[in-house]
Amino acid sequence: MTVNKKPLTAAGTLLGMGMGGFVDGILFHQILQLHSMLSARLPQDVLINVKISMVWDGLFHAFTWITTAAGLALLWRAGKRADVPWNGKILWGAMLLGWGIFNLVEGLIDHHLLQVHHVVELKGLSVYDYLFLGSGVVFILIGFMLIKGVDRKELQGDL
Amino acid sequence: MKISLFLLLFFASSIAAHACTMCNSKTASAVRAAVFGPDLLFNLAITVLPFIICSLIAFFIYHGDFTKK
Repeated sequence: MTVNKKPLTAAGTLLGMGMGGFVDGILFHQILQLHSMLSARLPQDVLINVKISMVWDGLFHAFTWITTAAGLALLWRAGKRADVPWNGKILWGAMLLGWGIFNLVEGLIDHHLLQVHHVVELKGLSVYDYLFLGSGVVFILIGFMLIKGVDRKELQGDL
Repeated sequence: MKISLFLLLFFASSIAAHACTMCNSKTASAVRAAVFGPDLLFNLAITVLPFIICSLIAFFIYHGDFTKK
């Protein structure tokens, strides 16, 4: 039977994008409060600005939730297919790939191009924004290597 | 007595939430005015844009190589 990695890879990628978004939102926005969605446009030392940012952070989290849910749906569908190998390296590799894509895309758009916020808002555009992009590239490379590194025999065995 | 204490605690805790987004207070009104103000569409677009791009990438991963016949 032909082995098809794409459904599992797509599912893992979406899961990684969603959960990577949650790491950003929960760790950076809420626990460490390094920045929020609009912290470069609205100074965060004014209560109203903090609450406005919180609304948009909430919407950001809504989209990460939807992305994660979509990933779970695709994972369920992939698991039911006979031609999709149920392989941990592909799943984890795809999740890392997704997380990396999220960091790269969100970092480029929000931190660099539009500059609506930065990783450490107090410092503005800083080395941390480039490290954030770098983490995206590293995650993408490792994820890609994990997915591509699974040999055919192992895939056939996972059907 | 227990019900009265519970109700007292319930309403006392909700007093602290008077600045919530949907509440009837000056702060809440100012927040709503800013959220639904002239920057609404721009803020919505920048919030959703990374997810649209990510979803497109996942779509291309799922549907594979379009150059193959």
